[in-house]
Amino acid sequence: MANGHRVEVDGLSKSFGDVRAVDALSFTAEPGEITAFLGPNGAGKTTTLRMLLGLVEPTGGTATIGGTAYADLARPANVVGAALEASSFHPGRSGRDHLRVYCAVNGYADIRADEVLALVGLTDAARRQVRGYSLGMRQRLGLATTLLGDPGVLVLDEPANGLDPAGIAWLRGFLKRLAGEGRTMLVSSHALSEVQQIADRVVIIDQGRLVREGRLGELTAGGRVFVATPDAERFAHVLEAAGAAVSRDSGYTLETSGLSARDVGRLAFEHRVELHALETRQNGLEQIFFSLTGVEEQP
Amino acid sequence: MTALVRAELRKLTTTRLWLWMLVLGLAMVGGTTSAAIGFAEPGRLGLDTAPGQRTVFAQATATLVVVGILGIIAVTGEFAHQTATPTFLATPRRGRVVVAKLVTYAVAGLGYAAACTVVLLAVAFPWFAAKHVDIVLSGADLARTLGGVGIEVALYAVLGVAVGCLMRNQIAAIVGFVVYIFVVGPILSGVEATSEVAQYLPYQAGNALGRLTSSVDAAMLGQAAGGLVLLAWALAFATLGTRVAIRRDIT
Repeated sequence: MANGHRVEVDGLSKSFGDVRAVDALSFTAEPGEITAFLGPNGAGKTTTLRMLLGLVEPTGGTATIGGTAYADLARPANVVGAALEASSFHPGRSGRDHLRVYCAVNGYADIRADEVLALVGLTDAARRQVRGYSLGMRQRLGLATTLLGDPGVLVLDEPANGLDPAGIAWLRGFLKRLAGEGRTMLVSSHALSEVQQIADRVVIIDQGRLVREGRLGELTAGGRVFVATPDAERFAHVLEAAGAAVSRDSGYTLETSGLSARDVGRLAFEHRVELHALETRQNGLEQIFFSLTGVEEQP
Repeated sequence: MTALVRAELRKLTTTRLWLWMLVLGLAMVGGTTSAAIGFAEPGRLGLDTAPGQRTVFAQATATLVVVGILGIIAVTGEFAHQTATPTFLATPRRGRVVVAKLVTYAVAGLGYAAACTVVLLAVAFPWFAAKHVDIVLSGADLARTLGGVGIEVALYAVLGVAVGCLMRNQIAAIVGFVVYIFVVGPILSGVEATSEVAQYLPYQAGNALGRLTSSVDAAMLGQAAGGLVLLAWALAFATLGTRVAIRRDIT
């Protein structure tokens, strides 16, 4: 098992001139879990991650990894792997040489470069110059760089950017596997539907402030029950009498909230209402995201 | 620190830039040596005089241009290609990265100077022989000139790295450096009004260290004094550049 550490952001703030990019932000990411760090473009995600990693000096607050600030880690690459840009490589250097530079910095054997290339499936392209890599291959090389020191904490900024559907499916499996090994995974993204499939916890920020933090299940719970019945008029009264909020789309379908599908089904049975459909619709992460951040959903 | 220097050497040798810059340096030294001999006129800097011969044997100094540019790119290239992020992630104590670069490029500068000196000697000795000009410099005198140029070039590599830390814009940094070496430096040294002061500036201090007399009228320190002045400039710029690199937000 990898040695995951708790990532703790506490009251973190950053001002660029008059602009408050990050405003008293606090959240945590735990070992063995994928924490999705979400927010619209410009919400302050990247600035927050850069402060966590000692690249940007906070105006206030602290960010620690296992209780230690990143800059104070003796061998950071052994503790934290971070990929913040889609392409932080010299175009004229081969992927393998890029990794070997960081092997030299950290005192790892050069064979480690080939090992992580194999892990991300880049062995065949290892000796080619990065300028010939696709965006997806660059994402994989970035990921390989983070894994050199086999760290217990991974911080990834938009790792799905530029990946095709097959690449995203691969990434999802890869991240789940890394979390399963006990690592703390902090993954920023705006690809909400992708995150929903793998995240354990969700941290949503907007305009530099925390909007919502919690387990994915808690956030998406409390869905609505959709009912189709030829007896909609009568059944609506029954449901309302039982305390549900009911909205009627037509004379045939009802959408209720406040009751579980089990309750709705039981009431239908007791009142001899003929049902054609009974379906629970969970709140999607995207819906929550849009309602919390006030960003309009694109059609 | 050894690991960091090894990493910087790897960065330097795993792209083609070092090779093209070496080819450029060798070509420049071949050209300036030929010009220094071919266009030499009789007089106080004539080919048969000691200052004239020192000036010919100091022509490997032309390497300082490519080495300075190499040092500038060593830093500004990290920002241009966004490798500054993984570099400073691997070594959060950024001052150590800058020092590793300063050491690496000083060593590389010595290597470039050595290679260019070979070209210089290969051009100069046969040419002197063909012109039937005797070498009036003693072996020790010649060694002081060649060695001085080597140190001068290494210090310019340090200056290049420091300038790269101070100026984020790669093109502006390179253009500024080249304009200083080819225009501002020579003019300040050559003009009577500024010549006295200019001997303490990097350009003329470097010439003193390399024992290159560009003009008999220009004020110039002795070799040791010139070397110390250039070293002081290099250390001042390096300190300033390191401080800037440490404080800057890497966005």
